[in-house]
Amino acid sequence: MRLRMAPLFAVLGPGLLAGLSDDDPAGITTYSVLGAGHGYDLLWVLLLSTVALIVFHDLGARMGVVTGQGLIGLIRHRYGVGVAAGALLALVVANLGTATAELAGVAAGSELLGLSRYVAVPLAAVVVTWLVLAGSFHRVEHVLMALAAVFVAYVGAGVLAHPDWAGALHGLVTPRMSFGRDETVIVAATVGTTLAPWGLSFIQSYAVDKKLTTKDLAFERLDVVLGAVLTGVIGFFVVVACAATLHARGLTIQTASDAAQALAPLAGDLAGTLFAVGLIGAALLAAAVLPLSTAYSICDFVGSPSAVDLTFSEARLFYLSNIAVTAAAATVVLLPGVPLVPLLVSTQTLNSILLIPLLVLMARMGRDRTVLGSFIVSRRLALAHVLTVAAVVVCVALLLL
Amino acid sequence: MGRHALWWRWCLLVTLGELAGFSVPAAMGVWSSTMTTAAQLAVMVGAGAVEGAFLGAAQAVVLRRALPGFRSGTWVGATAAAAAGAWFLGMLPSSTTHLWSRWPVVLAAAAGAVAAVLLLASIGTAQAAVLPAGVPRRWSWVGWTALGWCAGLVAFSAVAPPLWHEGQATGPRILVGLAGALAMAGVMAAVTGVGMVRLVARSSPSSPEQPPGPCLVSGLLPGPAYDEQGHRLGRVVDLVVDLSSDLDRAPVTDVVVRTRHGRALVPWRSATRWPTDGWTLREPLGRPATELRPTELLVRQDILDSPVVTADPPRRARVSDVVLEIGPEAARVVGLDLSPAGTMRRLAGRTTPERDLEQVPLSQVHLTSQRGHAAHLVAPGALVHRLPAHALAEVLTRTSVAHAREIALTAEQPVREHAVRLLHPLVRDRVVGRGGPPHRLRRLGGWRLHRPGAQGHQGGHA
Repeated sequence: MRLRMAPLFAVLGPGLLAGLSDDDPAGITTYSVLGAGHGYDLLWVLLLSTVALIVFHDLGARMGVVTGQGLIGLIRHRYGVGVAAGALLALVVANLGTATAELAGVAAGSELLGLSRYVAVPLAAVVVTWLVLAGSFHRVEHVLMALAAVFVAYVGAGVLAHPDWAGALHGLVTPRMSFGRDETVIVAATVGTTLAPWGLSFIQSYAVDKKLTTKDLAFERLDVVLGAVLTGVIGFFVVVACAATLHARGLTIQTASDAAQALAPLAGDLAGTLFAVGLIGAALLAAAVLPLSTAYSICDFVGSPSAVDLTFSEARLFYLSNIAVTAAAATVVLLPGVPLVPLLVSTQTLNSILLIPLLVLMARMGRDRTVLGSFIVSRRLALAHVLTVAAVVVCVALLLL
Repeated sequence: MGRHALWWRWCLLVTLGELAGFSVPAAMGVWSSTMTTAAQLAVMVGAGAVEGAFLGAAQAVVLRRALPGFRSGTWVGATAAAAAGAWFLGMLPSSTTHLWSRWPVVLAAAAGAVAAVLLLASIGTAQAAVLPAGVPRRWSWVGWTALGWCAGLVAFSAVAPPLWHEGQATGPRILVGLAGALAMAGVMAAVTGVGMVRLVARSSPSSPEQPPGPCLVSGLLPGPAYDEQGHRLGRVVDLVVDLSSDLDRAPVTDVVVRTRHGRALVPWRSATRWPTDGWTLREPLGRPATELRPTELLVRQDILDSPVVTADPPRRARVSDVVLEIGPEAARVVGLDLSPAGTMRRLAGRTTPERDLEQVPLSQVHLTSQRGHAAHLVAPGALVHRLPAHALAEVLTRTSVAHAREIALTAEQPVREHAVRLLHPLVRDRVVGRGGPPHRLRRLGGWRLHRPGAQGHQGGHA
């Protein structure tokens, strides 16, 4: 048994990490706003987003394993420079928005702890960039992951808040929507944060980077499902905790300390501190990965070297684009008077819009024999891809109308 | 491309370009309505330049493929400048009412007529000046554009003003404005399209032969294919190159024609490419494009834009373009452009190679596309067959595990064993199939190359 499970434990990583990484400050805040503003009514959006996350992360990892190329590189190979440039632009804009959201998470967390964002954000940007580009970030990564694991506390908080489980279950499986402006925005943001554009490119590049082979595909699928389900479960409890505590009292989320109150049933007076610690840990993790993933995509498009163990002169574009993304995101967060929670949610809404071209291209390549050969996806999975794309398009159309 | 196809392409792109461009002055007009007259004039002239840039860019997309020697950047710049001038002339009467309102009627009418002629001729004159010098009767373009804009403005006046009325809500006003702009752009594009097709027809040489010399695949494909009677057969979408004989100058054997029934091959010797973007095929469609020999590759599908690995210097790059040398009898692939500048050149729509184009022969790279990798493994003189151990280890590091295993198997045993010993342990374990995938539960444990060691690592077995 142990021998049979060994390959699974070895493959475990890309899906789990890409799935878990959705529980970043932007994700937690969006789920909090969803629960506080709409109670259990929109939990079905989270369920559908999680299913979409599974099918598209599975496709991304499959394309990485079979072709040995990252998402943007593969799009260029299949559709040429014009289409790939458009896809890259969408990805970079989305990633820039999400990187901004991550640093907004650092700002919100630090302000909860009494530290000014004008100190915390530049410091975080410099330290994270330096650790990443010096190739030593992985040494602190487990510490940050442990900090980010604070969000698992939402599971306990959700249970201790004595939620209406029947209502939650009903909201999870009963799609209903009044198509109001606020509701549409939060639905789009939930889709955008769960099925984030950067997650799609991240999982494909990670599968390539790990040198997985087609023999590992079955285990890889388990990994993807596990990661996505974990994302969904944590998201579910965030929504439930906020619905049971904030929504029940008619409170909305304007600041990070409002969101922290959902942890009060578990942490009492320490809720704010607990939330701040988790927010900073998750934000620093994501703030390290996002610019790196963006730089990888840019280099993948151009064909330039991209690895953290190359020197600056060997991989100039890689290093410069990494620094540029972090610097741009930090600048936005430091603009005087920028409201952090609306900024976090609006970047995720933007994600849902920019997702569409990437999802369409991925769905097309999934059935393309010139790309995947005999590893093309089944008709049933292809239908799931089409339905997911259609759902996101409808969601964005409602948003724009 | 046939005349009708060219005209339709022009109409579609120019309408869209003008519509997009016109939205800028329209929006700026609303925004600047409360400003002073001088500020309003400056804003609208700037917005007009943006409109001209959109229009010029849309026109350039068509013309760069239809007119040899056409320079897109110059065309866009000239159009933007002329459009700014046209807006200046157009805004002048309303901005200077206090100056000319007391002029005699005859003088005011004459000045107005001169301004109108200048306005209508401005864009055409600027564009005709930057058309390639060899285009016969290029100044006729001034007349065609003036006629086009005249008709376009009439169309706008026929649609928008009658539908606008006092007290109308903003939404309907915008929709009416859009409809008027669409009518104006469409009519202007249709009229100028007639002039453009005539211009292109006059500039096409009587001999359709491709001039000898290096050319880039990105500028060659795709293009419409016709038989000798001028009937449309489909589109030439790819070329077949054979790696079995000479990798440094691999011959192009066939063109791939996509029809409604699939893809078929026609021998290169019976295909003639017109400089104006079309192909004439003198033989009927042959074998399906799926029936390629192991050493045959599709240039666009298997080489262009795909990643390649080089050993000297060791790197993984992407093919920005494929350089062909087209002679009177044959065409050969003489190199791959691996430079990022090549990618930028294609994005900018330039299809002619620079004088100092960097090209790497096919014998100096290993293709990583599925078919490219397989063809290189069986091609005589391919890179991976003649590499010393350390260079082979660099190549193995930069390819996928499956490809690395196949490459290693084709190498001679001593070279293979030495190369495998040089590999980084993580890469080596994967290549020799001894270990599973690396156990990694960190996001940033990756994005590393794991380069081979100079002296080798312990414990490697091929």
